[in-house]
Amino acid sequence: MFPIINIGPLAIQAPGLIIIIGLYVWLSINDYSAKKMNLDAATLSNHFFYSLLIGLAGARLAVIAQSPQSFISSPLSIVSPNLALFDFPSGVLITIFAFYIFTTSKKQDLLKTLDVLSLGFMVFLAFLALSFLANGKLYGTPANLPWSIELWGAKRHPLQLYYLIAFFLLAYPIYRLLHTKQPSGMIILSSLSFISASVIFLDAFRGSQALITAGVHLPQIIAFMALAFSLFGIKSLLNKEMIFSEQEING
Amino acid sequence: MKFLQKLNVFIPVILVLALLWIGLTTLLFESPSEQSTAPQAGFYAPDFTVADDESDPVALSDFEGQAVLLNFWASWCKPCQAEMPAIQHMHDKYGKDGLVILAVNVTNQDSISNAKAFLHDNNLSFDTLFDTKGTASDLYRVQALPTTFFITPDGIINEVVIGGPMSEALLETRILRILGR
Repeated sequence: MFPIINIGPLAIQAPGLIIIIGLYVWLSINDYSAKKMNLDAATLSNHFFYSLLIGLAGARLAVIAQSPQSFISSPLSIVSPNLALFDFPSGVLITIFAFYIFTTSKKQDLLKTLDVLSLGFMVFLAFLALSFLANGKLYGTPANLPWSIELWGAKRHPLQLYYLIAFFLLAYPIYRLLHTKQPSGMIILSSLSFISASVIFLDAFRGSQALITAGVHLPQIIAFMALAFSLFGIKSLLNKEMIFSEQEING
Repeated sequence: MKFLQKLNVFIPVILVLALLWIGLTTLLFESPSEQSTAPQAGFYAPDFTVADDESDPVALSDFEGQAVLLNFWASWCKPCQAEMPAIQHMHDKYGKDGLVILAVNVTNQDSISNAKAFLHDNNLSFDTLFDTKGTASDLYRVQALPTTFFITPDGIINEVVIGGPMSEALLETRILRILGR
């Protein structure tokens, strides 16, 4: 765990820094992917960046909405840079919604756009896992293995490292798909299936009690539904592609 | 065509395997049960004993059953100085509702005289403790100042905020959470 990086008089919060670097890498990969798939990289970057800003504002507004009295008595807190005053789940949802609005309002192919984002997203998830290693969250169940890490008073599965390795490795097949001709939506659905499968497998080793009821891991259930959706979605895409090809052959 | 046929078999197999693994996780994997102590959200707050301003020992366990805001600070730390008025305001507002504020001065990196002078100059009236040997800050793995732990009445750390200054809104939202409102 390394929540703070001390450089001289500066104490930098490592998890936040890692996420910012991850977002930058995601943006950079988007440019590369967009060129590969003949999409306007500049427009995509703009939509992505503005969506992130709207999401950030939304994350702050969500906190204000939950406790308006606290902000009425301390109005300067509305612009506080403190990360704890952002509701990140709300921010993510608002970012996704804003990006959807930007993309569809410009009549861009939404599925193709999501395909472009997929590779960078997979790499970003690896950075997110690294940030969890930095702040000690998403810790594993106690285990006495040669590769266990000492965290929170016990030797544990290095769950953050498992996710980090999984997402980096799974970025490779996505990279390969990017370099082959695929129907729109294939790459995002493939990414979703890989991520879901990872969560189904790895959540079994999570040490936190959150989102577990009577032994049932809620993230696994959600990931299973996402896996089923993505696999049937891939099948549907391939079916349409096959029918389209047959129609072309038959004239 | 053949690939699609293979997919018709592959998809159900994958989904069944996923369901089997979920079932194994639910039935055979030991669910994380009672948490041990650790300076992390979701764990019981580690107990410690340090001296108050009259050199009497004070333990965190003395406040069992009460919501506690545990703040590590130093008199030379600018963000610590900046957030103290907000902490004082929360003490005035929620102290009668059972909120305990423990401001632990990291005295092994500060001095008692400087700390007391700061408290006096700023009219701060919440409980201040002096961690002269650094035992509490080591136990709580304090690597930056200020670091604040919000602890529920059943002794579980609800949130850790590293750095500052914390705004009143941030303090209030977290205090209301540990007070159960």
